[in-house]
Amino acid sequence: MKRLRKIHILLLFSIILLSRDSVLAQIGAFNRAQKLYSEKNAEAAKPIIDSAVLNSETAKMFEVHTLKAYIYFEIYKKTDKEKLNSTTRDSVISAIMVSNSLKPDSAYKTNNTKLINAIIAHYRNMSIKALNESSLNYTLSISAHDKFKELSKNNVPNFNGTYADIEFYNTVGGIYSELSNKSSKFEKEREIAKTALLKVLDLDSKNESATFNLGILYYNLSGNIVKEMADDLNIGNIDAVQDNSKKLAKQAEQLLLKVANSTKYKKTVTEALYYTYRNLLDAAKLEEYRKKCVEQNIKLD
Amino acid sequence: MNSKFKAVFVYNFTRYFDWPEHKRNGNFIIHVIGKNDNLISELKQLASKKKVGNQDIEIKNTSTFENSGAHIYYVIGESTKITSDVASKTKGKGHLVIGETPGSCKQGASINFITIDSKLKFEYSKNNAVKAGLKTNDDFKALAITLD
Repeated sequence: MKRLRKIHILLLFSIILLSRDSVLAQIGAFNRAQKLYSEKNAEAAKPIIDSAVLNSETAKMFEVHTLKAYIYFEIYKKTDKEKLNSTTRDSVISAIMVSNSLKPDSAYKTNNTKLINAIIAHYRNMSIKALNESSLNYTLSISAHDKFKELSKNNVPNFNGTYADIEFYNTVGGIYSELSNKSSKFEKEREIAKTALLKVLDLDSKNESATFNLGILYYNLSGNIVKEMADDLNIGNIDAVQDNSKKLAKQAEQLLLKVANSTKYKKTVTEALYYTYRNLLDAAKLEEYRKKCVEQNIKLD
Repeated sequence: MNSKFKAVFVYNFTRYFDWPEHKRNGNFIIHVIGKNDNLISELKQLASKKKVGNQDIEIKNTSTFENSGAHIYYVIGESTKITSDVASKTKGKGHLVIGETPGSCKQGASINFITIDSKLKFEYSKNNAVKAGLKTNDDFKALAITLD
């Protein structure tokens, strides 16, 4: 009996020793991963930190998850930064979430925030870069914006999603309306511009920039459909073009009048209204706006 | 904008009239009397791309009436007196006189541009066209605001 008790004690002691060794081994893994990371060898650090994260002893250490986030972030920067969907980026985000849930100390919390902010900035840059003329991609831009917003909402104190939407859709509307203003044939671009600008006006009905851009869009379209009208268009069809053009000119007029006194847009609006009234064959208004153009040194044709 | 519509209308008019035999050779001349740079520019652009039958289109512009043997005399401006002069001097010779001033047809123009509900329309005087030595068909009358 005594002998059996001795065996039990010995066994218990061995278990404790083994368990301690396992903890030490995992802490060792964490240290090795950290060393490799500081040596800028994130690829080598990755499998080591992965095993530390899976181990029940170290899984509860916020340090391990933050380190995992930083290691994955390094890999993500090299391979996935320009990608809209990246499992590596997703791993960074979820590692930070886990770290934050384990109540990290203030230094780690700050580092976690820095990393999240960097990813938020990447999404934002992606959404803007996708709107550059050379790489214009509205679908990518809007998806990146949505991801930017979602991540910001959960991580940035006092984040104002409405403001972010207004800013984003105003940019989209401005870029696409500039494109569509070149020709009435750019229907796809015009629809994107209209949808974006109307969305801004839905969120902020008095938004000056959206009102101006939408007014100019209708104004240009009204002019473009006339400019692009076939020279040999039948007389019967000329009437339809006139109807369409006047309708658009009326829409332009209503919007442009709302921003007629805007410091930023006054000159352009005055000129656009002059040509709008010329299009509408409104002699009285045309004369009124001709005088305003003269007062503002606007050269007319 | 308005000038583009006028230019397209004018080009359309060329197709609705039976031009006299002696006017079916050489250039098809549209003579604008008065100043309207936008209209001249639109007509010149159109002339560079289109023909009337086999005839090239030539745009002339003078400040007063000159007998250029044009197919169309387009009178710009407020004064109906010019229209009256042009109509009387070109009577019976197969010239189409177009005005853009209220009352132009009363002064002898066959066609006159007017504005109705912010849109450009045109009046047509068949009697004046006949006096000018021109023929057109009933289709054209249906498209115009007829005066007689």
